[in-house]
Amino acid sequence: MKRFLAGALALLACLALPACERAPAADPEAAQKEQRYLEAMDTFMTLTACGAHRSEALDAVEAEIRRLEALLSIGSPDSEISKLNRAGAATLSADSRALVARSLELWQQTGGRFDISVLPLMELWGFTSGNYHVPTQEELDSALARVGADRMTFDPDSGRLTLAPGQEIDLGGIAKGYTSQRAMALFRAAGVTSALVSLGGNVQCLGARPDGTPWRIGIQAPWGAEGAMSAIVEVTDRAVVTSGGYERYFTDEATGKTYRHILDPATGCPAESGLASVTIVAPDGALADGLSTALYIMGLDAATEYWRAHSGEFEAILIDDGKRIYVTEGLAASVRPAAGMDQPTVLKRQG
Amino acid sequence: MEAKRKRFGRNDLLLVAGLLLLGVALTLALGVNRRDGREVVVRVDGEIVARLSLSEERELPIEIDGRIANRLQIADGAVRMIEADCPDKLCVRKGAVRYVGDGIVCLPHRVVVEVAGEDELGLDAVAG
Repeated sequence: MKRFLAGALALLACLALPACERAPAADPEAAQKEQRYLEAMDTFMTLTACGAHRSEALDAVEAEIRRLEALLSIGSPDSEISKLNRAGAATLSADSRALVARSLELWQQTGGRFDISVLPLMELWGFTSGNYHVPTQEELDSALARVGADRMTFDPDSGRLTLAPGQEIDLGGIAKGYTSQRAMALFRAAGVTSALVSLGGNVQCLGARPDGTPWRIGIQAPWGAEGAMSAIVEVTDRAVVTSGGYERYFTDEATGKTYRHILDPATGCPAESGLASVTIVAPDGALADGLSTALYIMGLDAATEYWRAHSGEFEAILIDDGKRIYVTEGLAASVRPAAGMDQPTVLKRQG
Repeated sequence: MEAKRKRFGRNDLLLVAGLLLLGVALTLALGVNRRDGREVVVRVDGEIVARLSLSEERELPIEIDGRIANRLQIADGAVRMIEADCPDKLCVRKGAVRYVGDGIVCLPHRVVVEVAGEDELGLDAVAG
């Protein structure tokens, strides 16, 4: 529901000032905009495309979203990933193969923070079902024994993935970013040069707005009212993906302690890194999706170090629990804080 | 008594300085962070019924159950409720609001009037 509201708000913002209608009058067809709304991958999605080929492009993107959902969703028992989880091994199709390969690469690069095998932990805490439960150390240890991308064997050439006993994977931490990346390719193939998708708050845009100005993306404030902004970033040809503990959490009635849904694979417990949200801005949607979670778990210092080591690949906006905004150098000119927020601290490439 | 009043001592200076500082702090807190709104969002029962520019002077009758229950007025970059047929009239007494995030609520009629700024305007999407 929270996701739906965020989508509805984004939708309202779009309706209030339709970007595509501000295009130069010289080419009215290029300025024409079409939007689609759909529920898929357990979230609310908005697809926007401008220009002459917008309708057929949107048809193709919508079909692709449905196809990937059917393939990857662990919510559907017939999906390729659900079958893999039941059987313990499978030879994966091209998309799943690409996603698993990418995920294992990210696992390596992020020191195990991005891990597609945390599903047993998510289930233990009740984040998959909504039946929340604070586990005992014994329960955690038993689930942790089944977690770890290094425990599975994957042959990228044949696409054969074999899970360790009791292991289950969920590609949900990267699937929406991969899907938005696919959407950009389909838009491009259809001849669209200006488009934007928001897959439940995973945003990716193609080109600029039809009038040539950059797309304006609000970054959800990790606190307070739904739809409140913490910052606004202007981008062209980028994915903008935010992860934050505020998206799903529960409060233990016995202790009053709040548990957020992003689990640190090292401890099996919610990451308490001092960060409230991490936004990754990158040309690659899948990378942005995976890294937003990994850098959230790392915390400010380790995330900054990670960016310095990989600064050619992405930029980031980090917001800590004290409501301070940190922006990596390459984004400094494109980000401005929302009302009531202090000017961001710029993270330099050379510490 | 006369002698005491003549003397403007250190404590008086401190008091004046303190009050001045407080005044500056309040102005900063209320003034700098308070941005003038750009538009007014009117909701009845949670549904948006109107979005109006704060720079256009006008009146908006709000119809509820087939009658004009409230009347809004936009003037001088601010919005106020000028009429309400509810018993408490708290919304009318609230007066004019102009800053982002401020608003007027008419609880009996479930009318919410909110001032929005440019942050909320012209966004193509929200990441989160």
